[in-house]
Amino acid sequence: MLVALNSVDFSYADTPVYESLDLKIPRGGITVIMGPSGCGKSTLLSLIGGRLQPRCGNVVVDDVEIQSLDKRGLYHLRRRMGMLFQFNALLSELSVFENVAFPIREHTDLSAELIEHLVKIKLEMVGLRGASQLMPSELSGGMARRVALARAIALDPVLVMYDEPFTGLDPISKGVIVQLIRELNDALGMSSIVVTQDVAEGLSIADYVFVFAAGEVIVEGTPEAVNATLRPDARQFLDGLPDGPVAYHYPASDYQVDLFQGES
Amino acid sequence: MVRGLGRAGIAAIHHTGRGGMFLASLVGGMGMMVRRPRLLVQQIHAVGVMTLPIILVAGLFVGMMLGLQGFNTLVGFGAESSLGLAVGLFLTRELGPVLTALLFAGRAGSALTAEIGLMRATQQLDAMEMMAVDPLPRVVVPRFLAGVIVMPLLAALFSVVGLFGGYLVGAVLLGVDGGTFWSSMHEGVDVVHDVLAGVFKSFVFGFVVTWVAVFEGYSATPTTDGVSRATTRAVVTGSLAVLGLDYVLTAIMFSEV
Repeated sequence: MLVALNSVDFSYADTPVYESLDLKIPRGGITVIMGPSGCGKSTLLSLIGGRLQPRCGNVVVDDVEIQSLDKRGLYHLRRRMGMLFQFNALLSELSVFENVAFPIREHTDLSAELIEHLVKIKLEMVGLRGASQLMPSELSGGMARRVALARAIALDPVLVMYDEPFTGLDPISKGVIVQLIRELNDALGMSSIVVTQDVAEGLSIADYVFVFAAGEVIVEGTPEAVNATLRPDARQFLDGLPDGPVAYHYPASDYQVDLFQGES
Repeated sequence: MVRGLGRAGIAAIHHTGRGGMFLASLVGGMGMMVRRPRLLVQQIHAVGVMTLPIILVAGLFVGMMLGLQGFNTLVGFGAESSLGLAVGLFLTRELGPVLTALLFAGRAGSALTAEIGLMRATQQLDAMEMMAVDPLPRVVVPRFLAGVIVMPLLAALFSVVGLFGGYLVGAVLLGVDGGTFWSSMHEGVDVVHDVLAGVFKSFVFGFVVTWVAVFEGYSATPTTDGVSRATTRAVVTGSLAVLGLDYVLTAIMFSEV
């Protein structure tokens, strides 16, 4: 297993997110985590990346227990991880080239010539070698996502995490990102964890799927098995139904009483 | 109300404590500047150059104002020959360091807070952490050191331009003898007691204003509103700290008692 969460409890202040969560993510392949907003998908990535610490239980990544690491150890582990943020998080003062070169410059003593070659290779992989001198503010949403992807794989990580990689993209850009995640994962022999709400795209690239609801895994398995589930809460999410186990209405007092309160 | 005051007091103490811890972290991260001085040079250029025009223009106007007010006051006592001394002392001891620090807080301080706060809000700092790059020495320390280094230089330039402004109005426009203007300043303004004391003040102000600015930016709530509030807080806190510290430093350095 590449990632294991063992009996993890986590909460934001008084709001519990996970209670005794167990999750194992296999090495190699693409694991997709799906679920509605607020079910704790992105929190999972933060726990795996060591940006958040569980209240109880432990998180093991590449045979290393995250909680046992000091800052130096955590940073050392993170060099083997790449992350694509939901809003790309490109460094706004650096060009496309410098954004991709950033982790290489920070963590290696390679010559400028070699760094240039590596960056061009990564940018060519995402089809943006010709855009290397543009600034992030000059990129479209899809291009920025691809630059962020090139940066995430700059150090050839063993694990790449994608936080909502399809959000806010047009259908063409979505298709490009779907294809890139699959191709890069297979070509570079990485493992990928994709957190997404986009059911079609998620199922199309997944080797294994976890569906979350209210902080727990409600369905897991291959895309076909997950798609065949009859669980009402999973079906509501997968079919995009407005009402079901997840209520359409936020809890409130009786509607008539609320409307005519005080009228007699 | 008492509960509210108590809560606000505890929050303020907590915030100040976090600021102190943050400062300790900054000091701990300064080693990187030895290995990568280019980061510091870039920030000195960014912080210093963007503040320079406003400092020069403000210094000139303040000097001209001092020349005019000083002449109008001194001429009543027949002491207009001491105009150079008055302008020199005001600028080197007080107005140079204080006004530069206030302008610095409003221009460079707010920009530093907004820049770092926006990096927080757009997850750039989180991305750095996930790339195993500590944003504190990489982003914050160069900006902090740049502010501390640049402030005394800007204050010195403010004073120099201010002296020229005072000379322009006093000697060129109002007829005070130019030689008298400079010689009274030369005799009355002491390098150690006045000029270096002013430099020390501007160093302290630069330290505090930049510390507050980078801390507020780094700890800003990662939303548009959070960055906006952090920027306002940085300017207000920095400016008030400058005025308060100015009194304390003046009392210590220039008190005759």
